[in-house]
Amino acid sequence: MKTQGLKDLEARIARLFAEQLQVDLPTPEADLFESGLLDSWRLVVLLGALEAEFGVRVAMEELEFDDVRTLAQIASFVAARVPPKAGRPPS
Amino acid sequence: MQRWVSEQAERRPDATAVVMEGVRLSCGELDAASNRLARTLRAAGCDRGDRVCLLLPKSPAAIVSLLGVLKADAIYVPVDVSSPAPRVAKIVGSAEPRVILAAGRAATLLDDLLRDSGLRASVRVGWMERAAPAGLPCEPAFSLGEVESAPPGAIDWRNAPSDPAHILFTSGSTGMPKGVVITHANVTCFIEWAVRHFGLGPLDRTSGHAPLHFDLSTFDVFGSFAAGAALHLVPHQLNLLPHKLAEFIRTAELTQWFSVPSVLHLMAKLDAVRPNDFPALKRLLWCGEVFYTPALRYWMRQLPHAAFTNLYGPTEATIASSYYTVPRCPDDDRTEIPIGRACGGEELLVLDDALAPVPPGQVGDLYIRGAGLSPGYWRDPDTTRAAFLPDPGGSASGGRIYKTGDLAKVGEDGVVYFLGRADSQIKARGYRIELGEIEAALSALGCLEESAVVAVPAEGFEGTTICCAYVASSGTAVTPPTLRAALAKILPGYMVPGRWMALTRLPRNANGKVDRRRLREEFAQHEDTGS
Repeated sequence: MKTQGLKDLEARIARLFAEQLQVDLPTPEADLFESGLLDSWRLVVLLGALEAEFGVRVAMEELEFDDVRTLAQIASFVAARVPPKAGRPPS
Repeated sequence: MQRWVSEQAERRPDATAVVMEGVRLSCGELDAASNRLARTLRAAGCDRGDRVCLLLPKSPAAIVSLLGVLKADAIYVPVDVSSPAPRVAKIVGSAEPRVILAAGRAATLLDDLLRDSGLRASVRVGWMERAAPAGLPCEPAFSLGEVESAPPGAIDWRNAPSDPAHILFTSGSTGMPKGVVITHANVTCFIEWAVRHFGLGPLDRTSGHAPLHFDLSTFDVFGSFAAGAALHLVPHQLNLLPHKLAEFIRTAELTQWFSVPSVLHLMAKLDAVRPNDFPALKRLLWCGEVFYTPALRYWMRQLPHAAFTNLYGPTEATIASSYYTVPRCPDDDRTEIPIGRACGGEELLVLDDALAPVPPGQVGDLYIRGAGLSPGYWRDPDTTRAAFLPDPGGSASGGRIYKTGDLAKVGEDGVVYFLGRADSQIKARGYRIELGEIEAALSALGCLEESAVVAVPAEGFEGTTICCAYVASSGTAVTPPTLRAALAKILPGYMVPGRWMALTRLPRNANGKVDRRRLREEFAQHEDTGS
């Protein structure tokens, strides 16, 4: 069962995909790579967007394929690195 | 093309032929497995000249499959399994295969394809894994279990050098992908020259990086077979992570790395290559796009021990028609890298509108003449006639020249320089795309009054951004996100425009044609039209 926090995170990352990458994601579990929605160039842009949005700095060489294969995996990956309290939308 | 592996199997049965993710096939195993498949295909009704569509992820089983198809005297049609089902259906429908060989996630595609009752009645499915998944729309004629119980001994083939070996489908400007027919002789001519010229041999470990539906993979696969080299198939997902690609070259101790500039650019941008990395690497080759000189200089500085060779050539002229080995690291980012001189058996011609040679230094249309020329497009005599012209210079090579659509000049040094396209075909991230195919797909959506697709150079050396200007039909509420989502269902992701502009009408020039130059300028000026 996904927490509400994780679902919110997925929604915010999905918005980054739409706004920064011009990519609309079908479902959180869709395989972004096999469907051609994510390639290495878009991944570079995505990492920049994640840093700007959540303050999460990720070097490309630290990434494993299963960190970024689906929206759900990206959200879990970000959640594990966002400091508590940080990265919330301004209230 | 099929004889190389059998010869290697006879001489060195235990030598490594193909490696991928812990799976290794020796020459003997590959030869036997493809003999088994050829027998199974014949038993399933496959005859000389029949097509076999491969809906297979890149894998040793896919390599066995294309060899097996050739040994059954049939023609293989490799299909991009990550394309949306409607596009795959166009390709399979046009190929009219006797058999479809499928595995893995192609099950979903098959499900869509076989809803077409005509295809369901005429085609037989071979499932290239031991157990076919439950719920396939038709019972497979055979699966890997049956293939493995067929006799492994040599099989007699009857195909001739002029027989088609494969059909490669590329983007077509009318919205229908074009099938380029390539013969055994087309391939063997290039491979024999390349193995000799590059000195490939049994001690080499080569990359299999390009997908099997790309023409370049023909060199990886059959060049390795001809040389007796070990082919290391690069798992598709490594393309997402440039550092993993570098790790792959390092760990496999590759001696030859054949890639595309979009990948090499990103590896350079992210500094994924260490100084003096890949000590076993003897040669790096690229093809398909311009390798920007700043990125090339990075690579050449990191790897002073390796040779760097630019290959050039459209699918229609088989793998590559010219080559240029960069003599030393250019000392200026603005140095132009030529496409070079013709490969063995080929000629490059730079001609004017009257098909007369233009003087050195002047721009002309680039034509190719020689042994690599495809007999033409699959079941499309009109498009074939428009691109393959009677040779104005005589009757060598069957008396034809191929119009590449590229602009070029012959330099004072006698080598040929590529100067861009004469039409609206573009290269983006290694893919060859006809902008007309995207426009046809937009028009098929039925919610646009009109639309035009143009390409503008992207920032840095990322290549090209596809941009769409559109006029919505009155009464429809279309937005870039809805258009993107609708297009993604019918076009591969790499063809979906990244930037959009909603207009009340498209700009036109004096002839009433859409003013594409003005649209390109508008997109180039407005960087903020991302969504």
